[in-house]
Amino acid sequence: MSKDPKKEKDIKKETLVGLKNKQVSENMKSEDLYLQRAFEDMEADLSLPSDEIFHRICTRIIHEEEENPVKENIKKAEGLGAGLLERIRGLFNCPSLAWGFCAAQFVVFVFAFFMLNSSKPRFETMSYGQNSNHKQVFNVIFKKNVKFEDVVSFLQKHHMIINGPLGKDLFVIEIKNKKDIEGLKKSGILEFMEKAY
Amino acid sequence: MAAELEALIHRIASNDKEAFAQLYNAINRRVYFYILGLVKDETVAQDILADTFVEIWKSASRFEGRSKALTWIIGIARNLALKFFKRRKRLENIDDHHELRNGNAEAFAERFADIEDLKAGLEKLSWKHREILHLAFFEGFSYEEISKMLSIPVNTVKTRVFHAKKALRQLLDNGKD
Repeated sequence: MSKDPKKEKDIKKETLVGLKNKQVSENMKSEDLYLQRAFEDMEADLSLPSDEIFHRICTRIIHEEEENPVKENIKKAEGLGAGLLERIRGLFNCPSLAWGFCAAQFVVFVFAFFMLNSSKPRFETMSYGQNSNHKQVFNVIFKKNVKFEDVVSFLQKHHMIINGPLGKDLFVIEIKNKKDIEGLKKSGILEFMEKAY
Repeated sequence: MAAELEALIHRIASNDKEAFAQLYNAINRRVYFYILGLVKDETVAQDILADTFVEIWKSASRFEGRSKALTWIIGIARNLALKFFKRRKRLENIDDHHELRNGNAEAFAERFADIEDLKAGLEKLSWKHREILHLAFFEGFSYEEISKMLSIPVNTVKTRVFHAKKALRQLLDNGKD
């Protein structure tokens, strides 16, 4: 076994460094354990009125739930949609917001009322409304050989003469129902019939 | 333990009052101890403890299990304690306190025969230093967990632990002199 003094010195040095590191590491470990023990001791020494505090917590929770049931409903509501609905509902629980909403609705109603009943000048043609109410107006010419009584009795049933006789014995008549138009066509008393506009 | 706490929180989310009582009994001392370490005032710590549990009741449905249940709870307690600090405008900056001299790595055990000295030293630490040691050595959270909880990088956790230990050593040295 060769005894190289330099090598021997190096080995000694490495061993010492290793031992020192080991010592430091062990010190650190024991330091951490020591800290842990100190903390454990401190926790054990604590005096805490646990029951009294728990009672206080419960009272506060009950009080808050009573004061704000909406929050509780939000908590219970499952899903975002339900939560959102509860929040909207919650807005109406706030008196100032509820009154604000009523006032806004009132303004909308008043505005709509005035819009509908605004007295804007309206311009209408002379014939405006004549063709309204689904009544139809026709220009007709009766046959020459038709008796006057037949014409009168026919017209008295459902029709009304609006104008006439005009040139070429043209009458303007109003017919209320579609069926009567067909009846008039089939009656055989008309020479000519066309829709008037 | 973690799974049990998580199950309790899920039950609390559906308004289970029994589960709430169980959770309180299981962790109230630990949470209180943590808060007390921060605020160093028993009455305030008790108030914050109550606030923490009221908050747990209210926001249990928002617990998604992305972090450990205890991490989540301690996070709530921490936020409330920080709010207290803000209210009182007593936010401390650890860099402004406890000027440190370079201490060696001599173990606490070698320096102090009595653990009471160490406890006294811990009481005197700034809340940030006390908190980091509490979370790392008492609660046993990993550096990654602490990093998430405190919203700071892992390296900051490591340096804060280092500085906290150093500050503690210094406090203990001063006490000895």
